Amino acid sequence: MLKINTVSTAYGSIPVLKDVSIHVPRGSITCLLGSNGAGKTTMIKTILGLVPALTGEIIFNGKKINGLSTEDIVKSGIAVVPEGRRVFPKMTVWENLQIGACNIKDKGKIQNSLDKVFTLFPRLGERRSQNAGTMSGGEQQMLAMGRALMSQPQIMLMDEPSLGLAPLMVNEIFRTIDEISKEGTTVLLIEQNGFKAIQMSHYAYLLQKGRIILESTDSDPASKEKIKEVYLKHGTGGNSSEPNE
Amino acid sequence: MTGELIIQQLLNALSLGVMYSLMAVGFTLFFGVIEVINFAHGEVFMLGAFGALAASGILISAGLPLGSIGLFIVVLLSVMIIGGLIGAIMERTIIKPMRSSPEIMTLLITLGASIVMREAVMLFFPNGRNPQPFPQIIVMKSFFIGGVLIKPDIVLTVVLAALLITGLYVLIQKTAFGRYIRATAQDREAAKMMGIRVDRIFLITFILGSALGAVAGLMNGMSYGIVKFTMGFIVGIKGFAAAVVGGLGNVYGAVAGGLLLGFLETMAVVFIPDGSRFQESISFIIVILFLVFRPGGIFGERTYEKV
Repeated sequence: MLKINTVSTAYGSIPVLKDVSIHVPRGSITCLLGSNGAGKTTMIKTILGLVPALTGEIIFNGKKINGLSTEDIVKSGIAVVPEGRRVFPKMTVWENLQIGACNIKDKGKIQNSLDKVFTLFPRLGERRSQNAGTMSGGEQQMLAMGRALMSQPQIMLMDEPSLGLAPLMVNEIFRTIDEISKEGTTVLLIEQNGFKAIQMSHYAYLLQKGRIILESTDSDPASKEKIKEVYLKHGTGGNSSEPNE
Repeated sequence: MTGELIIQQLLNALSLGVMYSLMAVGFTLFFGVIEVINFAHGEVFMLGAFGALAASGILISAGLPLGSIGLFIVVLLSVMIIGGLIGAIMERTIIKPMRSSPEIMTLLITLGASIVMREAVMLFFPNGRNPQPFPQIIVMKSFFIGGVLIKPDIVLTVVLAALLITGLYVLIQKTAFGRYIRATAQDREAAKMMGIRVDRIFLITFILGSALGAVAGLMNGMSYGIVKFTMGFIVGIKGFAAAVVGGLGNVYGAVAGGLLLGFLETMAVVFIPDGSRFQESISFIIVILFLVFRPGGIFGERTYEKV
């Protein structure tokens, strides 16, 4: 569904991603692991067209999307749960969710998505008129996920959804990702918290210093285990080749 | 001083204040949403007044009776369209291309644009070098309420400004488009990631703010009966001052800031002996006091609240 072919990016003259190729098959949870500074967030920004791909191409549903505007890329069916959640703090939960549906004109459809999100995250329903900025990190994460779901995406890009959350909340978030996937949304999960992510994913890639150094394959079921081993043993994947933002 | 006089001065203060408010709202929208300070906004005000002058001239010669409600409404709409158009042209030609440049460039380029607009009116508007009488677009009889003489154009100004500001409030707080504006103001990149067409939001924000500024120009022409190509500068700076007093980026603060400046200016003229000499400096003294003692503005948020 989403194919990234030999994509390279740079911030100014500092290269970040180097010939990265990732394939996210329809219906899968594919995870991209890597430590701080490996280039994970840059990967998401590149898919979304916020950072230009200098080489290679990004294919979504058979169409090349690199070079399109971020707005058009999102409209084509890609939603994102950004790193650090990035909910709109001075807007209510309900308003944040409506923003997620900004490309949908049909009011009935929006209401359906809203009902679904409130079923998936009852807490959001209870707090629909609370300002997002006053909620806990876990609730904001739910809101960011709900907001992404509101656009009824074919694929969701999730950038470190477990970052900074209490362990119980992390479990809750991963359980929800599983549920979202089972309902038919493809997921590209980007994580530093490797163990859980690998376990729930169908495919895994390991990013280190801007390069894919390991990937799991269909033909070799042990390859996923190997990534887990390498990633967890070395602990770190890269260095700070990605400038702090 | 009699009570009637005080009430009349309060009404004057209110009509001056809402004019500043309308200007300040533009500054604060541009800053809050697009993060630019538009020093050409005062000239949009001036062009609004001249646009009203030109439009009323054309309409009167086309047969619309002077002093009628119909003329007023058509002139008002023309002014909003003129202001919006100027805003759209400015956004596309000088603001958008500067988006990734340092802020100082936008400052400089809008300052340059303001001078160009001012000089253009001086050079190309018929007899533009001299002050022009502003026609009495709408004629209404003065009336008394409890012994107080009420000038109807003041009432009209205040009511019109109140309607426009209420309309803006509804647009920003209650509509989908308003949510997109607020989202863009709060986190531009996140708004983009959600699929909001941020470019379009910037354009429309500029059109909105400029249309309101142009209406302030119309009001100014109507209340003073005279327009001049230099009129934009000082009102522009005062509108900016009002936006700063209200907390730059905060729309409701801008409205409050405009009212406060209008009130203090009027009161200074009335209560300080020979106070009219200070009228122009009052606003800036207040701004300096605010910047030193309460930099977050009236509502006192230190981090600039945006829209």
